Amino acid sequence: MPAYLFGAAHMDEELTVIPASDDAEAEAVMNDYIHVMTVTQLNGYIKSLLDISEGLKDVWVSGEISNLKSNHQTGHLYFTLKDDGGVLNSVMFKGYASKLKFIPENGMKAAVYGTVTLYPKSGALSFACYALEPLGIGALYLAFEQLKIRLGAEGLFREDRKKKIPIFPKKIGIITSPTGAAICDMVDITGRRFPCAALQVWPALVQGDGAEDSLIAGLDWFNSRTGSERCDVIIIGRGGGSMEDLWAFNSEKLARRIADSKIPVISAVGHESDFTICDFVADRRAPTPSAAAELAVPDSAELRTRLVNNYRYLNTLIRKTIEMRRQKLSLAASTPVILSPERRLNDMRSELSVINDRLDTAVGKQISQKNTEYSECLAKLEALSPLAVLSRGYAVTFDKEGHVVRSISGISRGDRLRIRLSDGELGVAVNEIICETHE
Amino acid sequence: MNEDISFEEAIRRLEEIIKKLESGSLPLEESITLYEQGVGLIRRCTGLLDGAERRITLLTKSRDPGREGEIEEHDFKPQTT
Repeated sequence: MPAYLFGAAHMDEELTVIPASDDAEAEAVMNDYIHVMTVTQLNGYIKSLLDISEGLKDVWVSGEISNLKSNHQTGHLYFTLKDDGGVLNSVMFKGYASKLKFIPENGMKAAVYGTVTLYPKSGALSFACYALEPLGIGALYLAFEQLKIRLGAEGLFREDRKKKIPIFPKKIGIITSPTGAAICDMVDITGRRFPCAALQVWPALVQGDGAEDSLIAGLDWFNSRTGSERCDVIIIGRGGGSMEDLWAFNSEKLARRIADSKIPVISAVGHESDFTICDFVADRRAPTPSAAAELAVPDSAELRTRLVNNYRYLNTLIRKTIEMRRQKLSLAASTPVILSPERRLNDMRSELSVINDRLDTAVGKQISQKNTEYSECLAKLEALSPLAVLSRGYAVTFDKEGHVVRSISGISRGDRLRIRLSDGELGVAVNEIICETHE
Repeated sequence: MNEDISFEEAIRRLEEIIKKLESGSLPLEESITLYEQGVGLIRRCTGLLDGAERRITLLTKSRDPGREGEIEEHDFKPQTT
């Protein structure tokens, strides 16, 4: 059965029946018999055809991105580009992927620039991309929108994160190009408005390669200062330009540094109509560098007016204070005690005598009352006195020891007794004892 | 009075003094002392606004041997190109 009439699956069978001393010989025999290639050869052949085909090299292909996978280790980006009719496996190697300003997303319509190639190992056809542009919207604009949404969701633009811009800065840090209109305007305006603020200028690259690092270095340096060395506010910005020119101010790294800055930051990038990520994350956005200078310092003309007003007000206040004291003084001077101290003394004297009289009356009344009480007491006492009884004719008899004799018992004839009368005593001797008998 | 105080601090103290004087309840001596302090602060602020010498510096990396890369400050006057 000739092998060429059948599919590849039967080829192995045929091969097994061909005697061969080694692979090379077997191949030679096969080549004589029928043209057979190895898989590697075929894939290599396809690859070489693809590689020399001008129509498959450096072409733009449009389609929708799907099955997007990013390999975190290698940094390569794998995806499928598809349209209604088919799919195309695509890869973007790290070197190109890292240059993308925006992050490709599934569903995104894009135009991809690259070359069709084949991977011999997997036999897979692949579109190796060098560039990727979103369709219908600029890549930079898309990148800007994506970063804005991402940082916004993180809360980096929240109002409560924003630091207050000091009203009277002593020192202002400016991060911008040291040449050009922007720095001149800022120096002029701050000088005219508030000359007591010192300026420190960090000369930065404001566009192109190195601009991001240069701007960040300025922020870091200002933040590394301490105490009186540290400026009170930072202005970061540049004059107008294209979106590409302003691109460094849309850097995520710079945005995070601004958010982390200990010193308040005013962003002043381009013109009124230009918005950058830097504007959103800064503590204050100024539409232009000149406007930033005006925001950063107060107007000294206004301050002078305020100071003059303060001075006038102080004078008014102190005059009023003195006037008030004067009035109080004259009021005090018009009281009777100040006008005629003697009259006041007389008044007090007569007042005193009235009090004295009242005191006398009160005390006198008390004394006579006590006197009455005393004589009554005395009368009562007199009534109870034994002398009063004696005066009525009674007598008290004492024996020789001076004891009162209450009974005849114990008394003998011849005993000497003493009898106490109201006005004196009698010494007597007993010559008769009469016993009184009771019925 | 401290002559080195900042504009901001001077304004803050001035406002404090005015508030105290407005209350009108202070002894006369104290009122007059406050008034004098207030006038001193206003002088200090006006002096600051007259701005003796304003300093503008450019920060550059040193090229001096041994100090390479250190940041130096030099007086600066921007030129319009």
